[in-house]
Amino acid sequence: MQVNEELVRQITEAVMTQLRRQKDASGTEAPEGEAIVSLAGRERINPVKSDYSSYPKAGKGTDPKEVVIGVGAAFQREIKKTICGIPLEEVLKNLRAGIEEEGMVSRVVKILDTSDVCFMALEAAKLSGSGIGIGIQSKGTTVIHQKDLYPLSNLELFPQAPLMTLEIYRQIGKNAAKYVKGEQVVPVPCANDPMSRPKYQVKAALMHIAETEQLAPELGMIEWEG
Amino acid sequence: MQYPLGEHEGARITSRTGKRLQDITLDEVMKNHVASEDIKISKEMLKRQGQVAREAGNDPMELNFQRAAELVDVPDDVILRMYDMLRPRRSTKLELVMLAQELLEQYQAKSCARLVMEAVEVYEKRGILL
Amino acid sequence: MKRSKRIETLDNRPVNLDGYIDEWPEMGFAAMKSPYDPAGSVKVQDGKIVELDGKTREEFDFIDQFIADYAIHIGRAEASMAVPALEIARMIVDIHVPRKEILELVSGITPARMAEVLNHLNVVEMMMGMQKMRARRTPGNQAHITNLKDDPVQIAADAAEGALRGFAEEETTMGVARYAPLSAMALLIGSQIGRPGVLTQCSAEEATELELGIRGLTTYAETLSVYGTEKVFIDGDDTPYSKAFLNSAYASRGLKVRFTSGSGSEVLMGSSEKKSMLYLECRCLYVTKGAGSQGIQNGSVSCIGVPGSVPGGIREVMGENLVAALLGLECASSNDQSFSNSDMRRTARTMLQFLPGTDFIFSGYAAEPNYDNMFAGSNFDAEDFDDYNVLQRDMQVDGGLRPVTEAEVIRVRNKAARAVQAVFGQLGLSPVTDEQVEAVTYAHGSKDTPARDVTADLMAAEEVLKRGITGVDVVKALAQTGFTDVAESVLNMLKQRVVGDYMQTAAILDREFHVLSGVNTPNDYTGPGTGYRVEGERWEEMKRIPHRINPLDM
Repeated sequence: MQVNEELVRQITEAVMTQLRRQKDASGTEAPEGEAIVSLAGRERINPVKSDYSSYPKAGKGTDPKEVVIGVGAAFQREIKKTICGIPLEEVLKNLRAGIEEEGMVSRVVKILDTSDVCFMALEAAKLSGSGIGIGIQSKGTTVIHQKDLYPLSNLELFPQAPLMTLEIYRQIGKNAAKYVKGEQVVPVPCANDPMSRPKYQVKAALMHIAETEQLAPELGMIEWEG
Repeated sequence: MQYPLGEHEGARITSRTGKRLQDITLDEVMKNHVASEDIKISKEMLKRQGQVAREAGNDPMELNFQRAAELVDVPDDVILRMYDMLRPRRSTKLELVMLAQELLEQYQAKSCARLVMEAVEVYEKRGILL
Repeated sequence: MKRSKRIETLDNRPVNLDGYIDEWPEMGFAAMKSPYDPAGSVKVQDGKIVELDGKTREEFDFIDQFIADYAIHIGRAEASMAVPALEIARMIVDIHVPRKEILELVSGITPARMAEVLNHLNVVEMMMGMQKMRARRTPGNQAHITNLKDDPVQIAADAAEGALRGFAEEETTMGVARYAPLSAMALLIGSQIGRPGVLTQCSAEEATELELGIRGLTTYAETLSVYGTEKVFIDGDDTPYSKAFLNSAYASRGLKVRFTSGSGSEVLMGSSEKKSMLYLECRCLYVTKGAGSQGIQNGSVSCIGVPGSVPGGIREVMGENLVAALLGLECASSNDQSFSNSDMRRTARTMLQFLPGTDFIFSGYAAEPNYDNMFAGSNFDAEDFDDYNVLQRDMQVDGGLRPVTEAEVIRVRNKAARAVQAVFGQLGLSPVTDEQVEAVTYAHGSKDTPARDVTADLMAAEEVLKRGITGVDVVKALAQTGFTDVAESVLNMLKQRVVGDYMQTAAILDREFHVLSGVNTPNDYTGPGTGYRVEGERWEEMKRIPHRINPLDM
């Protein structure tokens, strides 16, 4: 009897240790429903707003070879990766590389008065010495625009941020540069995944809210070197 | 009012240029007797459709047909320009007032001018004028 | 914790790939009701609305003001607002209260009151309401006709097949916006080959869309977007006033138009003003009504992931469709966007509109495989055609489609591809090879077709605009190349704009170009034994699905 009791105690302890260990290694733990905190009652995602008042205001370019890239208000600050997890630094690097490979010049500004990608791109285009601009939201949605088009029109639009890759961003840079050169441009082929909406739309809404709450319309556009 | 008008009064319907509906046929098109301009709606028909809408109990739709009737003679490019001017942050107060004047004096577009003047008032209040 | 195999299996089900979020009214993540929604109220002074839903005239934003001045029947406002929301809700489902009486009563209530009424209805009651309040007697359906390559030949072939399958309207859009003139032209030609009388539309930037319409390359317009908050309206580059003017501009050219709106857009654009999706959508629908539009495409549309993520969201989507019908608007009830990874969930969502019937159950059923759907995927696509036909047959419900035979499909696809080849040749646009005609005829999607010369196509598209090519030029080119019947059909479509009958509420055309609208064929449902019933030749046609067992083969 005693032996048996001892055995039970030992086994119990061993099992408990195992369980404790499992709980510590959080990856193997089964997800718990209650872990989600309700945000009801809160009016922001990020309690703090970045202050850009000391940054230089973005000026109008004069170089006819220039393509201006207008990035979103939360770009590389509150948001560091696109909706599908590409680091924004890499995104910017590839856009610029694409532009430069075609012999054109890039300049980056941060747009603080709108988070709408079409208007962002149009504002970038209007600042650009060539009249061609790229707008990119922090979630990765991108538009190539030309200064004299209707705001909601565009040269090329890439609405499905979850499908973007670095190669596509590089192509976008190249195409923007080709518009500057006045070449016949073959638009970057559109990717399409009908199932990205159910999976990503809510995340997109949250990222957009996080971007929009960083707007500082009184500052307009600032120079941004990432 | 016998709606559909096309079925009940087809013989009497003419287009904006006065072309009779019955004369808009493939033969006539191929003889170059019918141009794109001939296949457009007349003021009269728009007013008739407005009556149909009112009889169906839809007053805002009648008003829309009334504005449409007023715009029949406004050229395409002018219509596009006017629409663009009414978009947010496109025009100054003076520009919109002059647009209303143009609608009123040049096209006798009373209801459209009224819509523009109301827009001026609201746009000013909401800060979306240039 | 050791994982349960049951729970792991469930975790891996497609439904768990969808996004869900708790209610968060401050950011607009609230479907039917937000604590910040105003209570319905109205005050009329000297024939003018001076208070609307808790705001005085001085506090009105441009949406409030437009609604107050244009969308509410001022003469009925105070009497209608005196009727409690619950009573109105009960009248909506009461078969003894006819549609006309509800329309009159509701024309005097405010957006906030409308939202209160809807909050009293569960989804079955909403469906009851839709069955009675839909504008047109017979339900209809609309297709999306697009492809990944913006290939106009494939657009024509898919349009022809779609029209053959029963769609009353077809809408295209582009991956590359500049393709628009070619896409519109191909859609116009293809649609008439499948079934004369099908209406066509090309979704593009407002000014472009208007231009295509004026030229007669499209026969209706749909993308007049309206929004529920002022900030988002401005981001959409419009106001209720500019939209009302645009609506009149279309009408002045004799074109059918519907507006578009949908819950979730304000959340996605980050400016919901803490209001519920339903209340904001009510505001959109009042703006639509006030602008004198005959109808609306709504039901969240491209933002469906947002209401789809919150509790009660799909109830809200049906609710906003019903609000459109209550305002007397034609309702093209969405179902046009991929919405769930779960086949069960996406089908269930569509049943809310499919069972009662709406003016257009889908405002874009992908009549191509979803990988080709340039609206980023529809809730149903070409691969669901047979499922859909079986659903109609199972429940004896008219969803607007019909079974077809393979031979018919091949015939109309081929004719459409050849017609586009001929017209492009005749007008000196980018060439279409015989090889492409052949490939498109037998294709399922753009994966089965050769690549087009995009540069040449885009130059041709520019040419169409520069040379001022119109619908009449298309008619001529068709006739000159031997497609006389198609030329006749396209001309008949153009002639609609001389008469304007098809601008009335919920109008579609039959194959003889007769107008069927809410005016001459209004919904007359007043309970069992009344209204539209699936019977006669239409029922026989719906029964003939492919793959029936032939008892003689046994």
